[in-house]
Amino acid sequence: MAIEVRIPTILRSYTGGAKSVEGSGSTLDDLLSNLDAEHGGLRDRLVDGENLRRFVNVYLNDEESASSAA
Amino acid sequence: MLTISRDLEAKIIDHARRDHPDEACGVIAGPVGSDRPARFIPMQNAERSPTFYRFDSLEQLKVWREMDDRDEEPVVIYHSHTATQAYPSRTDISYASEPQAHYVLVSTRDESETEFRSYRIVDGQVTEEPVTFTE
Repeated sequence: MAIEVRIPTILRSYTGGAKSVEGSGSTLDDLLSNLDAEHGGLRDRLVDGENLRRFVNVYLNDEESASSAA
Repeated sequence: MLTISRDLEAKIIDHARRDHPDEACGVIAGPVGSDRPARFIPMQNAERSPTFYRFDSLEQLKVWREMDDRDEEPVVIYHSHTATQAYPSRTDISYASEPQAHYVLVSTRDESETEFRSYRIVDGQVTEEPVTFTE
């Protein structure tokens, strides 16, 4: 199942300028690894070890789904 | 250097005074690449704190999406300090993630005078910059 992932401007250098890319994965962790395979370096901007970096928000269907504060 | 109108300066100060003693925060959007602050967007401080600010995550999504749809970017990201000087704290610095933005800080610690200063924050490095006001 393809997931549409919208990319904020400051991370578009990893996607060749694309505002939106497709990925797959049944967990956020899988999805980020999947995206990183195509867009190297993206995961490292978002994840530090096992956790989302501070001040990174992830939204699923426009609702907050994950943040390091959660 | 930040170039900003007196009108926008007044709007920032007014927002900071209204929310005092909590920190106020918001964005001024402008066309991508223009470096010109144009559209004033006061936002909520989800921390509701006199010492920290953080955008409400859903409001942040809405504002950033709207800027993107309008081919704008955040030219100014402002917030206020209510008891300390208008200089970014360590948390403010970690929170800053828009390298092209001018980070404006105002201080409302004095009732009659408001400090208004601007900074670039890139890769954790803070550099103060001069501000030019236009009428």
